Amino acid sequence: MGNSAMNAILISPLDDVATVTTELHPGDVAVFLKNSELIRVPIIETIPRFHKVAIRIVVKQEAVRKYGEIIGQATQDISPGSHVHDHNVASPI
Amino acid sequence: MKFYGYKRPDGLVGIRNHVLILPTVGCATETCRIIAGLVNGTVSLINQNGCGEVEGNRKLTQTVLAGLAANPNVYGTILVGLGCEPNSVEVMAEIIGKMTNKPLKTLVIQEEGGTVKTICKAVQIAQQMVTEASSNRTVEVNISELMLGIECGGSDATSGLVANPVMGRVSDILVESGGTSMFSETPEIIGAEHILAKRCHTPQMGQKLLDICTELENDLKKVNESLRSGQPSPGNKAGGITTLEEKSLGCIHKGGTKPIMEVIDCAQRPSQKGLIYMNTPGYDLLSVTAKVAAGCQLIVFTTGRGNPIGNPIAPVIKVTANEDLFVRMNDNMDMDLSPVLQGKKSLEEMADSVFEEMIKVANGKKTKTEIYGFGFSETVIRRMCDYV
Repeated sequence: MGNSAMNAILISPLDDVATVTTELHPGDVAVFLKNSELIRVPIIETIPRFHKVAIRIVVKQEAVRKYGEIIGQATQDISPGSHVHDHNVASPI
Repeated sequence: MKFYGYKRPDGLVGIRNHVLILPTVGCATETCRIIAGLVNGTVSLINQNGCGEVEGNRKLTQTVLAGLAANPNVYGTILVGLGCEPNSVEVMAEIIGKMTNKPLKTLVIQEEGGTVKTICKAVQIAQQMVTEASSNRTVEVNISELMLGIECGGSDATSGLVANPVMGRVSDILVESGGTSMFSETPEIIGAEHILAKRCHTPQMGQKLLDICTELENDLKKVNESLRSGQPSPGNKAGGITTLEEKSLGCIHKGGTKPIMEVIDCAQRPSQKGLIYMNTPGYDLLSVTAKVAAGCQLIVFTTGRGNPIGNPIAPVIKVTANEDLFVRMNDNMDMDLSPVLQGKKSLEEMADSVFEEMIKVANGKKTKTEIYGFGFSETVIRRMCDYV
């Protein structure tokens, strides 16, 4: 199942974000496994190593999942391939 | 799935066959160290307690010492006391006797007439016990007899991303196979306790887990400390962690996704199989000791920055997804999980590899900590307050 082209990790199939294992730039493609299937998400902004990339559209105020659990809430609309961090996600209150 | 283990008269199955030389009090620790140094097949440990402690602390000491003696990796125990301590060999023998019917002998330094006479007598008893222990053969048993303790320490970004998620899958496989998996470290679940509470088997248990967190935070308030303020730290944020929930989930994910069947106190033996949460501090020496005292035969320890600790009674398998660390601290590392980071293996494939390694270690393969004989000075017992 392993593929040396993989450059991101999706921890749970329920997740909205993958974590990149190497810095990715616009034009790159994030590649990771979801339920044994190789998924490709085009990158639209720089994602530093070990940071998160959105793998689907997340609408403002929607929950953001990683580890199959809610890690926060979107504070703005987030496009697939964009950087997910404290500028667009905050703890759910 | 099966492994080969030592069947004990109390019904539990060990993966090691130690004779334990156990000091009931700090004053007997040096004597025990010398005895264990003279007889192959024995182990000992530093116990700094057993005297000068309030009742609550004495109970914590007794729970851990009795639990270690009752751990199935121990064939039998020689208790060594001084003679005037509240935690006497008689008291300890009674507590251990309620947990297990394995061989147990006692010696008191003041009654024997000093250290040298105690050592001479203990060596003879220990030699006999090792002879008996080594006559035991392992038998094939089901994996459901295994109780795994999962620990993380010296974490880095690879811990929450790879090592802990791999261990979460290992934990799930073990639980699905009927075994027991235990995780702990309450300070690290703060921020994700509401998520863990929902995974508890009953609402009461979920409430107990929330209460444990409230209790810890209230204790810390008394000394003007907080686990939430300033979290995640600037270093965490630079490393890609966005919220406290995310940080805590990275720690607790080593426990996997199964329902929590029991929330137990520090060093308590669980009454259920499956996934168990134990209330411990995050201090690795203490929480590994507590898990072994609760009956874990095997510990898997995830790290990113590296950690050398072992345990006198249970093998500790060190795993890391930090490739550089695996090379740099190879003397202390057992498994390299970095192929997941390099995209060469999936989390699932790596979890299968770790599981295979656990079976090998259960069957007798030695870990680095065992080869170096680490563990004697690595038992720590929880305290409620200062000595008296």
